[in-house]
Amino acid sequence: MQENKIGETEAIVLLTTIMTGKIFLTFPNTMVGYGGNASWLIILFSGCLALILFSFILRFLNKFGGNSFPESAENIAGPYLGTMIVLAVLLPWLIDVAMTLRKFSEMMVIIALPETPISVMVITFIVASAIVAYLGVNTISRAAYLSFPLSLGAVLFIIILTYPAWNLDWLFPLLGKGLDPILRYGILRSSDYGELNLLYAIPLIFYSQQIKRIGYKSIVLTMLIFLVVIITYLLTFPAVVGEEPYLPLYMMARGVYLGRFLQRIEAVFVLFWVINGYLWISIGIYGFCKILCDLLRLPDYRPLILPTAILILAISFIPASLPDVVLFSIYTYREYSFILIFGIPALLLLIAHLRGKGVPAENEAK
Amino acid sequence: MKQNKRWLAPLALFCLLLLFSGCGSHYEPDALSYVLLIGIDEGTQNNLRISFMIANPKELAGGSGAQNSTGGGDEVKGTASPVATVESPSLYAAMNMVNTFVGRKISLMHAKGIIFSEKMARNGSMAIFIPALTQYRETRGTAFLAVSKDKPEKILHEMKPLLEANPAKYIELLAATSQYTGFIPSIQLQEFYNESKVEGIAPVSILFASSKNKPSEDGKGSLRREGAYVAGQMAKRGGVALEAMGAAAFRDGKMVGELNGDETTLQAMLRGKFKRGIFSMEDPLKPKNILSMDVVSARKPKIKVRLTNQGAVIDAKISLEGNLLGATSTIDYALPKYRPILEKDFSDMIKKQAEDLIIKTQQEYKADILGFGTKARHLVLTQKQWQELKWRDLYEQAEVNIEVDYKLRRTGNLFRIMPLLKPEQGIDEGDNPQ
Repeated sequence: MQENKIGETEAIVLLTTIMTGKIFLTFPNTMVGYGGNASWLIILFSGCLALILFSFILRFLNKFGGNSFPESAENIAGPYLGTMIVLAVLLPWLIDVAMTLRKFSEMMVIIALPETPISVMVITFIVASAIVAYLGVNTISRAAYLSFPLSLGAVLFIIILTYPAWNLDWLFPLLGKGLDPILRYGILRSSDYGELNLLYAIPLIFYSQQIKRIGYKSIVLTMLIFLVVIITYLLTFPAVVGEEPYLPLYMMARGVYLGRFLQRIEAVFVLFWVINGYLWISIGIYGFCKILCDLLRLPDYRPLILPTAILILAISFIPASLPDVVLFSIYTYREYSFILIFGIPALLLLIAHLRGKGVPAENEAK
Repeated sequence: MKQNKRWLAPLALFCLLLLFSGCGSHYEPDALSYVLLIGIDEGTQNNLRISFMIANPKELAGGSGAQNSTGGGDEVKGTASPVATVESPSLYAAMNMVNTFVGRKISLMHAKGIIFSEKMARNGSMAIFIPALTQYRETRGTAFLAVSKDKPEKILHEMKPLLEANPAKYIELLAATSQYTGFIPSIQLQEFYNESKVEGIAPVSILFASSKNKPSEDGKGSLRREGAYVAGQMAKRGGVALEAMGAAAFRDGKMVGELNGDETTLQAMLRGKFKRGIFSMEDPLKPKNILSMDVVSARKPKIKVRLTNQGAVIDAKISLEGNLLGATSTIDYALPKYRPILEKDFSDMIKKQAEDLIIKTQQEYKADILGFGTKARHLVLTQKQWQELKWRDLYEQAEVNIEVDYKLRRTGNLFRIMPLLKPEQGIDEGDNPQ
């Protein structure tokens, strides 16, 4: 089957869309919980660290970007260890998609449809996302390309409208909970750029000569969006209150009150929030099926979509409650997944170096 | 491949339809009863006595009703905005209990304000209740928060708009009077909640009371500034039988005192929330005469906090400008020789009031309702250092220097004011001794 490739702008927008999807969920309150008033410094630090760690991905792709990830892994580490390395990417991926599906569905129940059974929400999300995944990465990336300016515009619109509630004093004390949490969580939360693993896990959908620009630009763009959201969130709520809500951006939208005629604008938020959720889950399903397809050397990823969707659906129901989902995905998965996300390309590079594998430096993609 | 994709479009459409339908969570607007105001008091037969003012859609649509009646009946139906009161263990239990007889599902989505009894505010149970209000998905942080000197239930009964068919509009407009009177604080539920959890600022809330003081028919009154009242003290007749005037000050979740209209205005000025208000004062050159000015905030106050060996020193500068609305003295304050006298006199008056308020907050309330502590947060780098600073102890002993800069920018419609004709005093037509 011929690989579909996506252009540079679409790729940047796609990666930025899925990386910044966290702002619609629990990301802002989690960061404020870590660093208090200084949570924006954690963003800055983790973003800069992601730029450095991305160099491992880039070096890996420079050497092995011409093959699918399972092929590269098996080529470097052998069939058994290679397969295990691919599974080390695939399994957390699957769990992350399942937890994100559950989070988006639960949040939908919290804010808009409180009496709708969670199963209806989850099934609706997964069915539509599976259909989009079936249509392929081009469809997903173009949808992201179309929706990104609108989503970004909606977020900025909400943020600007909260201006009357901003209080510069809430940013002080400037170092919040201190330097220690800034450095510690700055490292751990480089996981927030974990969706960059799309670049090496399904490298063949990108043009190899564009990957460097795609990676750096999407990290910088994501970091800027994170920074704007966190700083304005801190201006709107004092840190001690900022770590409380499940959905900080939604709370900001609910706080918009510009007289009697401009209030209750959170409906705008819900629309783009759902679109972002669909895009995230769609690319998650697509990516998982594509890697599995490459690992199993199947000609087409699409027959895997239905079983994958069922699997994701089942896993998403494992946590008993929304707090469990948040505790697991935020405080366990997101804090340590950077080791796998950035560590696997580094590990493969190390094994390749030890075994003398990889294309010579003069043939590297630029 | 194309044949395989044909079934996808209807399937996708079906999924979208599921979303658009709102699934099982939708309610028709005519199946809900929208609460406009919530009154919360301690109960006599249960934990709480909760009152709901419910929007009457028929009245909002322009139907006739008893909206101007001044009675405080308990009936739920037949009034412009019926009030339902139940005793219950919690607010949410009260909603369910009201559902048993109102017939439409109670919804707090359009609740514009929450009024607590003074008793609950003073014993701290109001502050305990606030987090539960912000937790519920239907209540909004933008609802105003008030303390009532009378029973909240009574306030809700008295909340009968004089000019508005829509009580929701009346309630919002009433809360917004803070922007042009300064007599009540501009405080929303979320803001109160924030300030209850942050060291360095103590919250205030609006003060409500029913009208009790009617003007007497005889006797001779003396000057009392318009802001010298708190809710329930104004001499008034007619209009709506309640007053929103002044503020309740809180410390550690308990109401510790009342601010009158002037003090509330001063609090807003020092917090940077003051927009405009009308001030009356004795004419500095002819003290028996009264002049009134429309005063606006020229810019946000400049507040600097320093730490010295003696403790905290706070320098606050308030910048105001105004328009002379009317002076009975006929002194021509447009003239450069008189204008600075008025400006200085007004500045001194505001300064004195601010200093008195600060002493009150330091010694009586022991609460930084002026929010100087939020500026003191700039002095430290970390949360731990801020905790170690112990701002509330520092504030009680702090030296506060107030500077007021007032400029009279306009003198109403008149550039010159010619004196009244008084031939016996030698003032004939066309004479102007000024």
